[in-house]
Amino acid sequence: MALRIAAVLAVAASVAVLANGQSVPGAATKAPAASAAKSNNGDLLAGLLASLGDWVKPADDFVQTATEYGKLMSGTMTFLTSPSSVYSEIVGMPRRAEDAWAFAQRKPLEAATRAIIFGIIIATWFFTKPKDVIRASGLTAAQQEDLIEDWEPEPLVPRAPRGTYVARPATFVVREQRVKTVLVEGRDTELLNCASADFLNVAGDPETKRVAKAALDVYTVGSCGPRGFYGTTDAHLSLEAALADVIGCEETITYSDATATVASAIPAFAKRQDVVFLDDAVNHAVQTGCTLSRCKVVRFRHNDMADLERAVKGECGSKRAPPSRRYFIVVEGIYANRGDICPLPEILAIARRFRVRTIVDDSLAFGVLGKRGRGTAEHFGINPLDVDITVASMATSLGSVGGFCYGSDEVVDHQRISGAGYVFSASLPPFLCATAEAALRRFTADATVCSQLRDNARTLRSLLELSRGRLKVVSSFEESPVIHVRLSWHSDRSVNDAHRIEEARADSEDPESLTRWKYAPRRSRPALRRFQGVEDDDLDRVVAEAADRGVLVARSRYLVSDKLAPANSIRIHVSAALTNEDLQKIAVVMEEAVEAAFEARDPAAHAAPARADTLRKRR
Amino acid sequence: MPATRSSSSARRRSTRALSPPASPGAASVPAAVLSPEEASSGSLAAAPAPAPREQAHDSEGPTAFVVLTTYFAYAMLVLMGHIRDFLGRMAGSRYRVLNGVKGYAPLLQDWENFYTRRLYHRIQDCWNRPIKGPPFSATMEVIDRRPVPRTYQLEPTEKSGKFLNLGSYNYLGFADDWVESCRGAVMKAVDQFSVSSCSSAVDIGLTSLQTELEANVAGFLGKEAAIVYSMGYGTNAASIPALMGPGTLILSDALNHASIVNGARHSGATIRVFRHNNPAHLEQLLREAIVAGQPLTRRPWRKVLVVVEGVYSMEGEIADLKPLVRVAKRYKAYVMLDEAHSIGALGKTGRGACEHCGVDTADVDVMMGTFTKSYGAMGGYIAGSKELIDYLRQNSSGSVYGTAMSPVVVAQVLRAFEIIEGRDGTDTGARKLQAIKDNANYFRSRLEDMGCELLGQKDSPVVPLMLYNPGKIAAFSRECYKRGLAVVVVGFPATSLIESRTRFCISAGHTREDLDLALERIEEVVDLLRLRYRKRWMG
Repeated sequence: MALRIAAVLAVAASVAVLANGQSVPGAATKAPAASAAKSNNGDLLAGLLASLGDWVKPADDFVQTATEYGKLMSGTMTFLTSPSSVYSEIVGMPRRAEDAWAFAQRKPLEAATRAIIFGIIIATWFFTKPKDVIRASGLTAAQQEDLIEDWEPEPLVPRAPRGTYVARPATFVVREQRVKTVLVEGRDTELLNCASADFLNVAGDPETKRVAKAALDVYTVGSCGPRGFYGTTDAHLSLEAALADVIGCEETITYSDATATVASAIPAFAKRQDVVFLDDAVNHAVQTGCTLSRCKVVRFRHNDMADLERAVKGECGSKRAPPSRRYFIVVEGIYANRGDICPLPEILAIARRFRVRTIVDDSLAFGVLGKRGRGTAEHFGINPLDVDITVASMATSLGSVGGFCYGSDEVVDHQRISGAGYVFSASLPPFLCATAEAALRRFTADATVCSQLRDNARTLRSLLELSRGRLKVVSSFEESPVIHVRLSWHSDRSVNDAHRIEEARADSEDPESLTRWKYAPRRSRPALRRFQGVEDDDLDRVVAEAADRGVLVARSRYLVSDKLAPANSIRIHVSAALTNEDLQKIAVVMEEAVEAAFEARDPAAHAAPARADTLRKRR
Repeated sequence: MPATRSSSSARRRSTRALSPPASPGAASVPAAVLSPEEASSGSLAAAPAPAPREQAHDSEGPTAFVVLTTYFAYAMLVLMGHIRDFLGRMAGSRYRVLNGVKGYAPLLQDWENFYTRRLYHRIQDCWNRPIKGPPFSATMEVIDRRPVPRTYQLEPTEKSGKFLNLGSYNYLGFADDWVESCRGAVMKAVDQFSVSSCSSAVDIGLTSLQTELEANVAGFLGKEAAIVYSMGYGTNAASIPALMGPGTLILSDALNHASIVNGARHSGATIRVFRHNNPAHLEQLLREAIVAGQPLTRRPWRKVLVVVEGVYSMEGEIADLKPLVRVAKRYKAYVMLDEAHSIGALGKTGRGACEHCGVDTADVDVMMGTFTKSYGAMGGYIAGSKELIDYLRQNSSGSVYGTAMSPVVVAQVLRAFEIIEGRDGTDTGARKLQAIKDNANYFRSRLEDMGCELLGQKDSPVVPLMLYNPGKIAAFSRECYKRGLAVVVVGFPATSLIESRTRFCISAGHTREDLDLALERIEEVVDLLRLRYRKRWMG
């Protein structure tokens, strides 16, 4: 009996929701009750159901009854007044009252049908209690014990399939760091540092060290708390104000880790119902942000504006899309994995045309591009605030740790409450804020250091391109401070090409020719991985040979789970302090190192994955 | 409101007040691992705090009066908020979301933003208070703020004052005696290295200092190896996805921190939540998982990871580790322990919850912790088998893509370890460890004597005091602020709707006089706001 009352209540609630949507066109004021504001949709319903379910059980004492009553009332109230996040989730109705009203006017019959279906769903939910899986299985206690005894979990550390490549640990342990050189353990000579992203050579600069020491004496090391709970010092405020001043916006927000910045900024705005258009070459942190936001991700081909327009048109043109759905184009300014620049003006034009917002990860361009070093937007002569949300790392040109984000004050303020990496993490140690601010002031006061860096990048790239050898510069933006270099005897594929082959098959004009490979991709993954191991050996050898000759470069490394990782390469970071002699040395050393690696390679190993090559040719 | 916990997980009272159905697994089969009283206390309906009974503060929960007035207060707030929204839409508002941008869907949607706009912004001066200088325990300098006209923002003013700090995680007081204890080592690192390596640890971010620290952490915890990351939040968020994936199961405590929740979500594993600190419920879920296998496919789970925290930051509760670990081991699940708030603060020699609860660290597969709290630095570590750490080095995003820890911060942590372990030749570390325990217990017992409703247990450096009514959140914070106390208050969504509280973090840097002064002033506020919930039904 009690259960039925509960069910009737629920049906009534669902009808009321529809009524709410239909009868009050201007009902945006009927926004949610307090608890709906933050709880996510699933929890809302679960919470309501739980409170109903428990309410009908005899309560123990008065206190509990009162608690339950309060819960029931607040739950019901929430449910009735919220414009049906749950409802829209289940029957695909628009989320906001205005949208629901518009929908109901357009298709009254369908709206009514959906309401009824919703009621039925709720009712069934109530009458079918969640099954007790163990009892339903009918297993006796002894049988259960046997099952438990039999179960053997996989080891905690996932084992790579037999014969596949396992990455090796880092080769270099730094024992002393100087402005443009480092000393590593096991080597006596100084190495030119072309591996760290400290493009303006500020991290090891004596002036920076002076600032750091002064700040340490004032603030000590840690801030001992998140920003909300006395972890905000005047050093943080001063850095945020200085950044805002340089960029020309009202406010900026700083995070204590670079990768956490973009991985928090995207989910703070993009939610489950929203759509993100993602460039096919973005770095892992951006991908993490998209995964955590649980929104729909539509990928477009790297820097392909026609493909972006097609994707945007396909999504935004849909009549079924509710007006409250938000769309974001997510790109990088300079792509960390490729070294090329995004065509920002074209992207913004498309974004404006289709009313899509833009998110740009400008980590590698901030402090590098533009007259005053303000990044990609300035490079193209665009106001940085035309991009809705920009994030950048402070571990590049600012020579510090952490990241920051800017946009309208709405964008910044919302993250102070909803950016997971901001709210749930301790704040950046104040001395790192002080050094970042000092670095910022230095390059904005005198931007010749930025143009020097760009000149260096251009020079080194042309030197490397001139070198006749087995060294292949990955074509990219000429002023990019990141230069990827590949080896001519390597093919252009990565582990992820297994996926791409699968996609290519679907696109292929002659699918018959590929049917033989129908199940190949999954099987060929270990082969590709093994093959990548061979390539990595070569790259490691190049790195070691270069270090022997006094230049420290890094091999790009990607997680196996990084779906958008390109083929492995040698990554050279250019910095402003490098002189012409240094640049020439780097070019010569790289050429020699590649030759040495070629001599030492294992030809037999390279012959092994020929099958995949054949596949590529067939395409 | 600024939260250090995700909204969905913070349902402490509800787990206790609601009657959980008697666990079928435990009922049909005698609980193999838990002793009868352990099993019954955890799984029976409406059991009191499931933590160790002798230590647990036996909370009775709010009276009906408190519950009703709290709900009433929220109802009023919501009502007033809607009226303000209505007027804002009519007359234009300082909130852009109410005015709208033509053609775009609102960036912040109404129902997401209402709470911030109409509840949080009314009392936002209680959070994000900027400070000048380090978070000293007794004389922290807090900067005054004033509202900026025609916006909803606050701006700092020239004025500032000295406050007694009851909010920072400065557990061992390294911020207080930094100049004497750590300055030398840290400054040396600035000279030798740079402020940041601007590179990931697999490239050239690894310094000789960091390898030393990693060995030190491993030795301190009795594990084979350890890896350190630049950010505590990132430590969980990066390493859980590296270990778990589709087809695996994560059993997570109901009150786990947002970094664990986000890491688990990102991993793609199935997540199930067991009742806070409840080994019986954990056992029930484990039985079900192993007997029934994965949903739909019915294949056995590839592996199961149980994730708990040492000290829960919003509750001050210490994990009931012994039975939890025993249950997990019995069912061959792996255990991950997050010691963000317990490492360096719990246990006789500061080795955290394992030492406090008498659990062998060999039984905990993944030991995680942070350097933000007790060490006065930043970053986090994972300690475990050599195989595990080698794997994480190459396969966790924090190691491959994240910036490596700043060498300066590494030097601070190393020095703090030296002091805690007594390798500096003094008894500073031992004194600090004794002081935090004594201070916390003294403070807790005095508040208990006042008749306040507290959470957590003896020895925990976190002492939460219940406020319940939303109005009291701001009132408590502002009244303490007037009296020279810097406190942390938390409300929904960091806690459940009615469980607003204030949270005191006690430090080894506090003297007995500091605490007495603080308690005297808190007592004034407690009388003013009627917070003696344990003595009077109306508080």
